[in-house]
Amino acid sequence: MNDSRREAIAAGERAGAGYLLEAPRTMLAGAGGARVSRRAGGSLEFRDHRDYEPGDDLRHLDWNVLARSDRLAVKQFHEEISPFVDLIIDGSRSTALEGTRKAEATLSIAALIAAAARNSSFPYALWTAGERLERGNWDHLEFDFAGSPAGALVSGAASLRPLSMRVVISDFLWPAEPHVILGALAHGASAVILVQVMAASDAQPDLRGGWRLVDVETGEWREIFFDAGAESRYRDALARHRALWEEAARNVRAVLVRGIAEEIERELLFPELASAEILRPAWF
Amino acid sequence: MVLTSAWPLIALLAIPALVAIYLFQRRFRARDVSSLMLWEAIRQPSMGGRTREPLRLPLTFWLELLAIVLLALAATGPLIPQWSRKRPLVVVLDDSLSMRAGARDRGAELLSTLSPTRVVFAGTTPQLAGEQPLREWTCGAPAADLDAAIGFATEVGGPSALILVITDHAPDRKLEKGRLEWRAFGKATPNLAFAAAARSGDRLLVEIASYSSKPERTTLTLSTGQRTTIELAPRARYNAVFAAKGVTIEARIDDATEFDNKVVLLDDERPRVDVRVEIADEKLRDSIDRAVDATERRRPGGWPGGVPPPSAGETPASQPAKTPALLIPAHASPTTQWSLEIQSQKGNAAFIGPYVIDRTHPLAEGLALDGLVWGAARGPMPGTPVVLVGNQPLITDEIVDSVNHRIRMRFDPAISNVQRSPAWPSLIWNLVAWRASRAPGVRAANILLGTDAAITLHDASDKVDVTAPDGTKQRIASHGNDVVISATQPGLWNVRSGSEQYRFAANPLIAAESDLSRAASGTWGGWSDEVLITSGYMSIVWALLLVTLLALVLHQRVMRPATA
Repeated sequence: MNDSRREAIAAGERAGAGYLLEAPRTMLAGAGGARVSRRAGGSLEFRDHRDYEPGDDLRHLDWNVLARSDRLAVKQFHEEISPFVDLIIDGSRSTALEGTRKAEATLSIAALIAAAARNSSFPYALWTAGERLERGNWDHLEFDFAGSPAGALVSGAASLRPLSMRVVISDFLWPAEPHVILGALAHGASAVILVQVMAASDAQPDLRGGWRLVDVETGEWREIFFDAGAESRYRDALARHRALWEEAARNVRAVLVRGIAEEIERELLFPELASAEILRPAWF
Repeated sequence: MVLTSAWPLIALLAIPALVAIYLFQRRFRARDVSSLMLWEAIRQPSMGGRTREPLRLPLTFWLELLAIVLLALAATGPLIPQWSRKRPLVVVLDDSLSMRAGARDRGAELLSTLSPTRVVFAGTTPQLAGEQPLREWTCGAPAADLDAAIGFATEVGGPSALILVITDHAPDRKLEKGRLEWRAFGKATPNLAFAAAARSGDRLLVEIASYSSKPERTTLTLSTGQRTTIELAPRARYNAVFAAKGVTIEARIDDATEFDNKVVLLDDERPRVDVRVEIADEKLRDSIDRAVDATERRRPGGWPGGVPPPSAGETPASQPAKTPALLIPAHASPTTQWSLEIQSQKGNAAFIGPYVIDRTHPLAEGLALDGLVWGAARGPMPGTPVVLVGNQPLITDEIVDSVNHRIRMRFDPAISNVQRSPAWPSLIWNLVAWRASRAPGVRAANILLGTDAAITLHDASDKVDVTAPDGTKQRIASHGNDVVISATQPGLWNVRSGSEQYRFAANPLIAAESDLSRAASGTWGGWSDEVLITSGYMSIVWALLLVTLLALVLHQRVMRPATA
């Protein structure tokens, strides 16, 4: 990892030191922090009775019910959960697109959220989505996967902590169905937060004339002549792509915030994350 | 639309270069992108391969192409007619014979595409065309005075008129751009033609000329059946004399250029003149007789039919109707017939000149009196003076009636040397020839194309019916017994006046027209911008430049880097 990225991580940690991570109101299931899960669990707080089933812990058998009704019933208690954060970083080459600040912005956002999670006493796990979903290490984060992380997200979602808050930081510029990916991520999650980090050149290409465009992930190339008409068509395609992700995020009640890498480094998406009630100043 | 100059169109050669640049020499700069997904909607430029696909070029190419075309067009100085004004165009058509060698047809194609306000035929004299100039353009003139025709066109077209000359040869001088455009449709062609053809008595002379730079061969065929094969050296001539009497002879040669391959020669025997000299002075009478005999037009045998010379009181009705008679007495003739009255009184003055001669009079043709002594009695003489010395008339002409003239000459041979000079036979020749020409009939049966045929009618008439060689008929006004017909077509002409019929042949014996070595094709001169603008045209250069500017602005806008 180069100095620029280390500095980006440090900047994110410094910025996140003054914030708390909050579970969004649109949590999918369970509760974060000291909240009580709606699911039955292992806490001492009684929730309900249910009929005994073979294999149930006999310690939870309600003897009073048996005495009154001669029916075997077990007591259920609220599950007490501690919010856990799965922090997933897109490990594909497009995250480190040459000539952009996408990698630095991605690392800063990730460090910010990690620092805020620590402030909130939320344990977190760092993941990189490449060919597979792998545990990451702040000192050895590489963006070298030549392909789309969509497969890793879909297949690796099952290995994530149940009821965890799942934060995915990526440019989401993949040719995949967003509802499939988000459906997998949202399954068993308490919340899904998507942070889309795009380069300025992704959002508004600064091109004129003939160009050979090379996909950094697949190595495929395409020659185009970029003029006003091409620019218009590109913008239309980007708007449609964004709309697809927004619709998929709404369907699974996920939070989607997005920013431009070159601008993120100045404010680290504070307004966007705050308005989504993901970050809260620690002194507030 | 008129292009002031076509040379700037060479700038259009930049178009293939532009296409080559876009198709073959485009340099695609490489750039990494996060994903090609969003770029799928953008059409790729053409690429090589086995599949055929339509040529796809960016908007900038079309804008640059448009700019090149518009700039090249603007450089040509295009002009368009103003809607509100009719273009004053006068077309001068070369009406000479040589145009029949193909140039006329090509010129007619051009003329049919124009809408000239006036058309002028350039013949020996300019002539304004009628409603159907293409039909009237027969190309029968023996020469084309294009300068005169252009001057005439300038007059009839007005100061703002454009003038277009359609001919078959290049201009004699360099033409600058102005109001005159010279278009030639000729082609230098080796040609054989009749250079001369004449008939006298029982002999017929034809001369064939080669206007070719290489040896030529042809066959001369007469309507009498005679055929002669002729070998002609480059630009040489060949003469041949044949016997022919009484019949019309048609001579032909074989040649690709048709218009000068045929001549028609009529029997051109003019009636002889009955001349009677009644002069007492033997020497003077003898000199007159010898001069009359030298004309070879004196009717032998004296006064016709042995009729005695007319005396005072007799009327010309006693003369045979078709026999012209000329009386040369020494006294005043009381008759109304043709006469030359020689008043040779003595005791007169001798004049040495200077002599004043009416050169328009038939008697004065070739007459030279300088240095001669002319003795004559002083005093007035009736009639119109033909020769004077000072204020003393020496010869006068008095018109007796529509046919006859009375010539008076005051002359004393004793103190004169005129009768011993060449002027004397000339004077007598002119007198006899004039008298003979006034006999009924065609004055010259074989004439050159483009000249006038003069006919003296036997009976006075207001109009005569004329049939041209191509069969067209027209009625021409006559003046008493005289009618003059312009021979505008080669061939045999027929003239009818009542029961009388006359014929004459017009032959294209014009070396300058048959020599096609100077014929050429091309365009010279041209209409300058200033002239065209003042002639109802307007320049559209500003509009082309404006559209070009808009295209370049749009090009700049397309090529401008996108802003955030």
